[in-house]
Amino acid sequence: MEIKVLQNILEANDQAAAEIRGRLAAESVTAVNLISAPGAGKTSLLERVIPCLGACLRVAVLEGDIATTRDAERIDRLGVPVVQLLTGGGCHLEAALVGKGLAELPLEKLDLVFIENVGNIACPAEFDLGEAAKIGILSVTEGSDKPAKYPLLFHEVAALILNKVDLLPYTDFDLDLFDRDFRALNSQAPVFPVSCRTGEGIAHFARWLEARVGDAAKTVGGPGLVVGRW
Amino acid sequence: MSNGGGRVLAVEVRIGTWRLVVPEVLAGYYESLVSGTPLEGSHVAIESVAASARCRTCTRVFPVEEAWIVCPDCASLGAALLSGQELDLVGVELED
Repeated sequence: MEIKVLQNILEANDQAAAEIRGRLAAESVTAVNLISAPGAGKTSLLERVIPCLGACLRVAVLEGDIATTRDAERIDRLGVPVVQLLTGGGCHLEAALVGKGLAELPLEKLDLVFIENVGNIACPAEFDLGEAAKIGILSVTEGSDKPAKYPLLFHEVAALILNKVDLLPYTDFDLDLFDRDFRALNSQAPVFPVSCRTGEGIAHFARWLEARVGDAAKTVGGPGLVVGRW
Repeated sequence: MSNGGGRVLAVEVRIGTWRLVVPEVLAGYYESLVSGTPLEGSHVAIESVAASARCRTCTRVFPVEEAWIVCPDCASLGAALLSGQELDLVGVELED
């Protein structure tokens, strides 16, 4: 005897993500989910782009990591609210943990929340966190073949940061191959070539982000550090 | 089991090829998880769903081979994925 069920196995995560999306919409907060391999420059990008954003834009960060509060400490130095999310081994963030992290933030005083995912370009692409957009970061030292090898992430992103372009002369990164492979997966997302080391290209990405957030900016909120393990 | 049904023989799952799920690993975990429970002895029956896309320009539906969502007819980019991202519990097979 067969019983039909037909249920999405990730339904619990999708429900938590929908709840987050509703909460963020009610507070006019835009959330973006930053996804890249370890060391591609997620935290470095935040260190560069946050000071470059319009002064009236109030920003906070949820820092996803397997272990340590090192990234949260780096973000805390920027003077923006930050919550460290420790997965305790998990290779990606799920919506339930993000929901707990958001509860620690003064959403009514914020315009933009960066969710820095765990360094990994496979699993994080699978999980909706209630964000308005997924933003991918690929550093040129990783190689130009990554879109073809990890198609789901590159298909899902609303924008792609190509980091470490100051190192292009020292790598075999093939910009034409990268462009061809990426466009075969994603014809819409803008690509922002940047160097988080020199600051090149950061302003273009900042202007794009500001446009995504719109003019819902309110007034400047206070900094703080909350570190929790759930 | 309760609700008048017989023993569970299989749990039917549908997984798209674009999902980052390894069927053999899923089946192995299932076996470990149900060990010592009323589900012991049942297995996961996995149906794989190939990825396909519809061209937004000429509406052709085509299979997506690897990471290449380009229409084979008109070479347009930006086709919409139709299938390949499934991750569904489809049903449960019970002993009669």
